Amino acid sequence: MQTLVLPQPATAHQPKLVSAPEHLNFEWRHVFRPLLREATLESSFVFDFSNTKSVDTAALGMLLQLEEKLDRNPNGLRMIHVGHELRSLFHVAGLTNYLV
Amino acid sequence: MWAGALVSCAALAIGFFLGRSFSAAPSALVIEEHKDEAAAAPESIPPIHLPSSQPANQTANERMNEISAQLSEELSKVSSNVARSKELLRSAATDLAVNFDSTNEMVQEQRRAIAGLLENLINSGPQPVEYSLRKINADVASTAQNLSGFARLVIQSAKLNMDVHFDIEDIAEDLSRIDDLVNGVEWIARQTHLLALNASIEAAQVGAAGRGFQVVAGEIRALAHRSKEISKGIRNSAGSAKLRVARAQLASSRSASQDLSVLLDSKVYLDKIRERMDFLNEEIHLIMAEVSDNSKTIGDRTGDAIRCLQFEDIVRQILDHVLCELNSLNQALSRSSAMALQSADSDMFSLYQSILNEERRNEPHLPRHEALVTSEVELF
Repeated sequence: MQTLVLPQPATAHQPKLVSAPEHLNFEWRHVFRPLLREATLESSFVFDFSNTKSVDTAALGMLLQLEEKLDRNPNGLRMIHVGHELRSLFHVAGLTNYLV
Repeated sequence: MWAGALVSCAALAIGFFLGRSFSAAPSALVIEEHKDEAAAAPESIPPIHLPSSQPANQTANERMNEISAQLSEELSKVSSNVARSKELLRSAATDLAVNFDSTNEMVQEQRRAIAGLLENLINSGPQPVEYSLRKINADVASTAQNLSGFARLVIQSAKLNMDVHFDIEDIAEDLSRIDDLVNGVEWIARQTHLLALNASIEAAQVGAAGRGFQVVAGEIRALAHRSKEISKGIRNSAGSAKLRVARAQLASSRSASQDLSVLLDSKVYLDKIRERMDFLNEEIHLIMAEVSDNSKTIGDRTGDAIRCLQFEDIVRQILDHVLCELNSLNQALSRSSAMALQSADSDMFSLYQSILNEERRNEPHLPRHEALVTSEVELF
């Protein structure tokens, strides 16, 4: 009996890679706002903090906005290369689950 | 000849008795103090007096008396020195024992004071509870948690501020659109006004038949003017709203953008304080244990030292025995001097035998070797 091979489903939605600047602050809203507008429950984002040295509360607030928009889906948000000094800040903000 | 033989015999006897006394010393410590088993040793030995002899031996008798007197004097000196040594030894041993005991007591007192101080430091003791290390540590932990909570609140507040800021940005965009719309309305009003003018002109050219049309054109011109006025009012209001929105945007940006580094550095500092206090707490407990062990060791060593002072008892007994021997020797010399004047050479052998017998009768019963009982230490 010939085995029926079904076609593979469409490729999964690729996460959008965003590089965070050296000083992540309120001015980042011009970059972040469009991302927040286009985000849906199925969206996926990866933020690279390898060049980031400082993060203020406005930037953390924006990340929390995106987390809320994604309904706190751990697969929808990833934060990579977060420095040791910034980890405690992300921990206080409640974003530990998204740190890689 | 008889005098020389007697002096030699006396010297041999003295050496013999002294050698026997020091070789008979016990080799171990004795806990209990031994009472004087031997006869009380005289502090000084009386001089030897010889009986008066035959006129033919007067010279030898005088020499014998002289020698005996000298020997007796020397024996007295030795006895006196031995007695004094015994007393010095007893006094020194007693003082040392008292000092050891006193030192041990002071060490124990110091240990109790240190333990009490450290215990009070950790658990507050008689002071208010707020002053204890344990309470301070708890307060530091609570403060660190409060700082974290406060930071979290600030960040949440920043998120709300960003929500407001983005809404304000949207409002600003809407106001811009309103501005554009108002421009459109103004253009329509201008065109309407022009159209109304043209209509009036055409109506005038028609003459009387155009009077009604001219009135309509006049009304349209009035409406166009009114529309222009309203558009102007809308533009002014929108402009004012835009100013206010811009101020609100500025305020929300300042409120949303806070640097939490000082706050978080304080939290890190408090966490380090807590770690150090925990470490200090452990160190204090270790020190308390060490102080307690050291005090116990000092107590044991003091006990050992006091037990070692028991050597005084042994030495005292040895000295007592020496005094007894000296006394016996003195008596033997006295008898041998009398016998030497009345007997022949063969009596020298008898003299020697009598000295030996005298020695055997006065041999002391020195304490035997006993095991040291560590729990039974008596101060003397």
